[in-house]
Amino acid sequence: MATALQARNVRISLGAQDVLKGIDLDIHAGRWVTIVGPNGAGKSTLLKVLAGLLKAQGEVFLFGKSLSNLHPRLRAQQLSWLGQNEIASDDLSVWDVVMLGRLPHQNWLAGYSDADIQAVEMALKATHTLNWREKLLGHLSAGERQRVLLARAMAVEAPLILMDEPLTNLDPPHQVDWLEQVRCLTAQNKTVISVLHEVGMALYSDDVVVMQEGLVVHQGGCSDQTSHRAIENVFENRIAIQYILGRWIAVPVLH
Amino acid sequence: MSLAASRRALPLAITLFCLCVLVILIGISVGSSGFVNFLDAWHDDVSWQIIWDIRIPRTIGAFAAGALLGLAGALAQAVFRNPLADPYLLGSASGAAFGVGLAFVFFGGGLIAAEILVQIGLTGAAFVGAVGAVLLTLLLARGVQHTMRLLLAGIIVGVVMGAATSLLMFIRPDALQNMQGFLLGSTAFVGWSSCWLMLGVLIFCAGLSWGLSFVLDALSLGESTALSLGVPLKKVRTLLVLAMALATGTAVAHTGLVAFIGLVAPHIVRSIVSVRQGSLVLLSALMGGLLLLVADVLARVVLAPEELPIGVLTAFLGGGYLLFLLNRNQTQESL
Amino acid sequence: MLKSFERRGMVCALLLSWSCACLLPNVARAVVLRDDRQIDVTISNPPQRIVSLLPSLTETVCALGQCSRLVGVDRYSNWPPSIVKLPRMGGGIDPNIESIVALKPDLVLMATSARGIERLQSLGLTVLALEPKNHADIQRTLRVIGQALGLSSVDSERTWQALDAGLREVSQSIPNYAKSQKVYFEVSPVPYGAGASSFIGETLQRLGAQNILPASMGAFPQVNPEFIVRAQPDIIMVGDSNLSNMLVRPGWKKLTAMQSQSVCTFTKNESEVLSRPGPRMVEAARIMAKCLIDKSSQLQKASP
Repeated sequence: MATALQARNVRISLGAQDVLKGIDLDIHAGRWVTIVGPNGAGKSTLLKVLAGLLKAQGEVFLFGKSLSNLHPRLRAQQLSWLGQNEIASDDLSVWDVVMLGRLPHQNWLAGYSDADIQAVEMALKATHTLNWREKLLGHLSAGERQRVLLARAMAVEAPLILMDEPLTNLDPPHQVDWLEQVRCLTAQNKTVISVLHEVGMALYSDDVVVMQEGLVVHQGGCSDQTSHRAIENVFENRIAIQYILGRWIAVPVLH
Repeated sequence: MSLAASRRALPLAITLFCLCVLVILIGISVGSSGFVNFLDAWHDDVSWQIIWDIRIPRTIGAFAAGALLGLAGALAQAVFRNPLADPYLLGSASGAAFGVGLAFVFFGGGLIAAEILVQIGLTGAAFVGAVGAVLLTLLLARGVQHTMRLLLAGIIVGVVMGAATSLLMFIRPDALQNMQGFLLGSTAFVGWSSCWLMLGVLIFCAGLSWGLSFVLDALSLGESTALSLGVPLKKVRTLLVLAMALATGTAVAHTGLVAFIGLVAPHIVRSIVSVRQGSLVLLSALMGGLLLLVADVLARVVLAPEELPIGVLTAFLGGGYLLFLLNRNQTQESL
Repeated sequence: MLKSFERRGMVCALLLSWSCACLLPNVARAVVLRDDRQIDVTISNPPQRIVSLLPSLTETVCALGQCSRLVGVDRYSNWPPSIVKLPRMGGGIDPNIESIVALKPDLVLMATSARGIERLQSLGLTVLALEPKNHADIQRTLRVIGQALGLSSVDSERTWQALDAGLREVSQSIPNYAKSQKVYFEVSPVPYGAGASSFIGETLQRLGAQNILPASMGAFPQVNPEFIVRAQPDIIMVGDSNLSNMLVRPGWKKLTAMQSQSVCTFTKNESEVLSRPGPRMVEAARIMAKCLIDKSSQLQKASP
């Protein structure tokens, strides 16, 4: 199986604090991997380093090539990022936002091609936002905006997508939609890495990376018992992972 | 750009352009004797000379300066992702004032430096001061990467330059009255060469901003998203900050410190249409030009043959409109 | 022969009336003056230690011959040369309260627009606020300060008459061809010009020149440069540091005054004399008269 992303001894300090203390990771292509862990474990920071948004010590390899040597445009074509919502402007239309995802493939001043239009329409369809293409971002609710941002990340058509808390503001039906969209992506042999704090949703992924205090304490399949014990452990056994109604579920443990 | 967006931007652009032409024609008719149709002056050689030498270039110059400030304001708000940003944020206003203050203090002082200053003139001194202050800010902030650091450095440079200017005024109090004229703004001495220069810089900065506007659109999605899309964020931000400094310095050098235009023009445009950054920058330029034109014509006609400082009028016009927008928003949204 | 008791009584009475006679002039010597704030200021004794914080007031005190009574001046006072050695008390806008009080003055002369008047008064100092702006003010200021200093009104009136006569003499020395010239006096390059109601404007008027800026525009109006070009002044007067930017103004090269070189420039010292409404008004008139005569004769030679 091809390796989409590899991390070797990744370390980073933000300010005086050591946030990542030596991370080694192997993520295989076509898999959906979720990073879980308690608050402050360094999940978002790790994801940003893997996306090339933060400079860290150690090495990250994207499809075999070192990330630090990769031209930003080439990296942008192979890696799509969906971060936490930082939008400052309400004046863009949905179409414009999703079309911005095509920037890594567009030439300067060339305008957009048919391939771009196709990609944008497909992304809008997949997220059920096609009807809103002329709507302004400012007129959408937070959840609707989140779906548009996901469409933007999908429009890049990159083989690897990294998502930081993509379920923010999404109601349960749309969380299910998102699950289906990720399954679609992996079916196309795309790789998805997500950071989720909802352990229940994380258990739907293929693999899980369990983090605690800047280190990876476990990496394994989501249906493996060892993964479940590792997850329960980092959360101080305040959750229990049970097999209910045909799937693995995390329940809070009340004393 | 989606069709709907271009459908929104074009009519506004055409409207603004037509209004500008109209106000320019009115401006050419307004002189020291109030409003007199300029076509009547066709036969009178002396009057026509005045119109050609003085009135036409200063009216077009008012448009050009306002357009430069509107453009710089839109750039500032996009680069800093802050709707309260204005083109003077990085210390350019204080730098220009300091440059002019230095020029006044050394003019006629019999120093060798004074000869060079006479060549460069007050215009050059203001321009060098404005651009110099921005470069100093960039140096202090060590680049454009951290917006907060850049803003803080801009405030520091602004305050320190302001203090240095006050010190100059303390040493040479007779320069104070000269400075006041500069600080309040005036198009009185904008001639053809100044006019062409401002229009040239306007076209250059507008072209550059339009070409790089895709980065500003990406930036409006957030810094990490923009970086992830592979856009050359650092290079483009530096270029745009320099374009902002160039535009602001040029405008301020020829018409003094005019308040509010850079802050208000993008807001007015955005209250009428929702467009991408490229169109927003160009429309802000047109809107800024129109605002300063109106202010200039009013400044000349209200107390003819005396003139009001245009800075006072732009503050009233711009501030008044902002107040109106604020009230409108408050009645629409409930907190 | 008076008894010793009665003699003693007479001596006492004499002494008493004599001391009363001595006291009376002191009581009579206390003056109440109205200053430019329209406030009555009481000065009980002729002041011997005077601080002046406005150059024209410094010059007025010296013109009345009382320079020796000055103990402190502001940093801008620079005439006559004898006061240059006096300690500086700051400026009108930023007087150094501590230094002023430390000098223990019995009178402080300040402009009405100066800061710190209340502060100094609350510290117990006597403050007289005067700000002469035209010829009438100069006459009044001479009188008020003369009274404050305990001089007879005859002295201050005589000083004024001398000034007035001097001005008339200068005016009469101007030949006919130099009269009624249209003059534009630029104060700063905004442009601010000197109107007919300013001190400069008044002096020009006494010299028989025509100010292109009418009295209705105020003392120092900000003018539309078009107006100046239209008015086609015969002579332009400007401070020498501002001449260079006048040359590059659009449309100004074609002004007859520029082309015939009828532009008078004044040094910093001359500019100070021209703009301080005070006892050097005759010298101010002389400076402007010289300009008028020179440029007019130049124009005459050029076109007979």
